[in-house]
Amino acid sequence: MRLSLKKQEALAGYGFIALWVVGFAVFLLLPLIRNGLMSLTDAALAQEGEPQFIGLANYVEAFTLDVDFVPYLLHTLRNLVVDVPVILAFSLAVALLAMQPVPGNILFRAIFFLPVVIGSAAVVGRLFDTAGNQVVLFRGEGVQQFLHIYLGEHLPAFLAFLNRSIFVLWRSGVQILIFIAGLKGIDPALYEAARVDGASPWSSFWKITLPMLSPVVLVNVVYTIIDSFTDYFNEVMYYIRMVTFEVSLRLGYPSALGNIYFVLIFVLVVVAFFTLGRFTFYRGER
Amino acid sequence: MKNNLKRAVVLLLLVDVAFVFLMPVFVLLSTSLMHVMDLYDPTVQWIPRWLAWENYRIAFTALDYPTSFRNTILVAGVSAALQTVSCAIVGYGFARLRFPGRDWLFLLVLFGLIVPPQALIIQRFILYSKLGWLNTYRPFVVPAALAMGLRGGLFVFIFRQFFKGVPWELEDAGKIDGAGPVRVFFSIILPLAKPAIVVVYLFSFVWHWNDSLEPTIYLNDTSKFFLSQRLGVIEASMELMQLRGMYGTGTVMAAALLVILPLLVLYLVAQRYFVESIERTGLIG
Repeated sequence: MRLSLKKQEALAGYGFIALWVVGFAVFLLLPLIRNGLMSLTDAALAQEGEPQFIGLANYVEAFTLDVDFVPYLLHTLRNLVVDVPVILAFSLAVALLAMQPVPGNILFRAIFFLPVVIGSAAVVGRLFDTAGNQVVLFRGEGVQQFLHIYLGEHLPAFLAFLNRSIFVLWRSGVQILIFIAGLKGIDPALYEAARVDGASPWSSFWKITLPMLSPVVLVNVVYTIIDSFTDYFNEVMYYIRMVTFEVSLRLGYPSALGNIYFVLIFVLVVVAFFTLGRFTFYRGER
Repeated sequence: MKNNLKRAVVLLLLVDVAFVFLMPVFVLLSTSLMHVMDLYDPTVQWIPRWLAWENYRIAFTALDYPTSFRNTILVAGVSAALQTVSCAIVGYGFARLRFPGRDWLFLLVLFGLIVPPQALIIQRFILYSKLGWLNTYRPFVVPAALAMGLRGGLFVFIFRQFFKGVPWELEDAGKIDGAGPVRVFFSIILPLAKPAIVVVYLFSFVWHWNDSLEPTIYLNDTSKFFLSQRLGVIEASMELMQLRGMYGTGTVMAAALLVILPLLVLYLVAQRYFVESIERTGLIG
């Protein structure tokens, strides 16, 4: 018996993705489902007897009894609202600069990508940890004393702001690269046509660059949200890790925390996708 | 004249931004060569009074460098290779072969990307302990071979985008000559995918190298530790070596630099590929 061409192709298709299907089921779907079930029980490490079903008690506890979880969650959300626009604006500006025909722009691109390569959690943690009482941007008392004259009591707050900004900018490497790739994909003929029609660089940025770049903006927004939510230094991530492996020996409760966090990320990504999706322009679409 | 001025301004801004990116690296370098006495001496800012190379010697021993370097390069290298191959195969399936449910399954690939590792780590821990995989490298290698692992979904996505941009005619030519999908993939498509392969391999390698979350949880035998894990416990290691008081931040910074040194060398060599290949993978559009 011979299969039709269509069926043959479908069979080959399933063959190609079979690896992923197995991996996804075993290492993602199964853990996720079991996590959901466990969050409804009082399971714990070194538990005597079977875990008992306790309904939504763990979820109720997270929002009512736990004094740390909700503040961490809100703080993470607040940081996100600030970080995403800053990272996006900064990385777009840097990408636009790096596209300018100036000597050494290739070298600059290499430098901007450096944080991605060496930005290991362990190393960055060490670096910004020691810099906690000292700003990474400048060494020594001289600059600080100079600033003290102008800022007075606001100096520590200003320095903290500066340190945090650097930390944020250090997370823009991938975004810069994605923007550069996007900018390279825009047909130069569009700019040429606009220039001939008398458009200023300013208006061609708003009327050509930004619309043509909008799919890339969407990719970057989603990437930034996921990146900052799953970052090793994220407070909620840290808290869940602590609850599980250090503070308590409970398993049900941190499972519930993980689920709440996951649902939050999921909702945010979907919202970002649909609100930004409305402003996104795809070539070849009318 | 006006053009020169513009170029000067752009260059100045670029230098400023580069400064922000390079500064922490300089801090790392300068601190790593400082003796404890220099660290607490307010007159020493950038240039240590004498170069404290012993920081590197102590860090090298405390990291158990030869062993942990071998562990790291082996597991990161193998996992990255397996992940690249498996994600390429899966990416091709999603890009070029039509089968029922394809788009929904691809949505699941993207879904996998946004699940935070913390939500899964307890269950994975239980799974691996049942399988007897704790304290082995299987939790890193096996998921990588199944197109999962560290950000596997992203790599499937990159390959899918790349393969979608390859002209159909090349495949049709192969099909007319009687090659099946497997032949077409391995002898026509894969050789074309060099830029995507380079990007995915380098990213995967770097991310495996730098990962310290999952290793910390699945491995507890110090002789199996990776470099980033050793860096996390460096104070304890130095304590064990009874070097308390003799070490300072300088030694820790030297250790941090030793951990990323191989990556820096790799980056200097492959920098061109990192930056240019991603632009050519057709990731965009």
